[in-house]
Amino acid sequence: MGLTELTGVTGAMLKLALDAASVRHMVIANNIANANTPDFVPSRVEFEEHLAAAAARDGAYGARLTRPVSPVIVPDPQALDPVQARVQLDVEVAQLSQNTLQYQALTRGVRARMDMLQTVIGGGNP
Amino acid sequence: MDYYTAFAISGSGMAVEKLRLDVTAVNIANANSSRGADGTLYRPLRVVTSMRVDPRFEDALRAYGVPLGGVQVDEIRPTDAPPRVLYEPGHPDADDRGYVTVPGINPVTEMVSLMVATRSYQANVVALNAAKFMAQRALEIGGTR
Repeated sequence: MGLTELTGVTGAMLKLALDAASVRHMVIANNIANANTPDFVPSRVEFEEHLAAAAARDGAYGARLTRPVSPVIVPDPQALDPVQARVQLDVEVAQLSQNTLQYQALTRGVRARMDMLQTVIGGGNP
Repeated sequence: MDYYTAFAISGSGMAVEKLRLDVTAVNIANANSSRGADGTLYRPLRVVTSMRVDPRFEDALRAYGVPLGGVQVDEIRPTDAPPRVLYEPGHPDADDRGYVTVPGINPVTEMVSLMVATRSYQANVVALNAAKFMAQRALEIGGTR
């Protein structure tokens, strides 16, 4: 029995979202590290839209997604505009903070899920 | 999450910005040097960087199609800024008419480079701390309250 069987669709979703948040962190860190690199085009992570599309296809509360959803790294669409084609440190750091908070919220979710399992295992006794 | 990749990316950024700071300091220090190390006049240096494709991050490359390797130094290149000429008769390196040639270092440019390097270094530190924070939160999953 794997973790997914134990934690159900919520656990699977939390795992996907945690993976996406960690990839997004690495992409933002890479953008910041290359802030002064000439001709560097910042990258972005697309995940939520793919997850929403998969949920629309397979049913939002379906037991399983028929295909795995993984984050996709794309060049920043705004970077096509030559004026914007530079790493903007304030934007990157703001997105970094948002992503870190998101990750923290997700770990809280995993933990709450684990606590519920703990309650079940204990037969409802505290 | 592979935290070592995140740490290595931010670490490479910090190393590059520190080098940029060092090179700017060398430029400012040599602003009035009338002699270079090898007999030619010192020329202001610039750090040229590019995105790094590190074989250690091949997993990230395979998984997402983008090499998340941080940043690397390509070269430290002298610029072609025209030298400044000062009138200073009696200087050991003055020419027949009393002019001394010193490197074309613009203090404003150097100060701006200094600020850019400092702020970029700070941003990399923020990213590193965020990775550390996320690693700590991940370790708390399944822990006792």
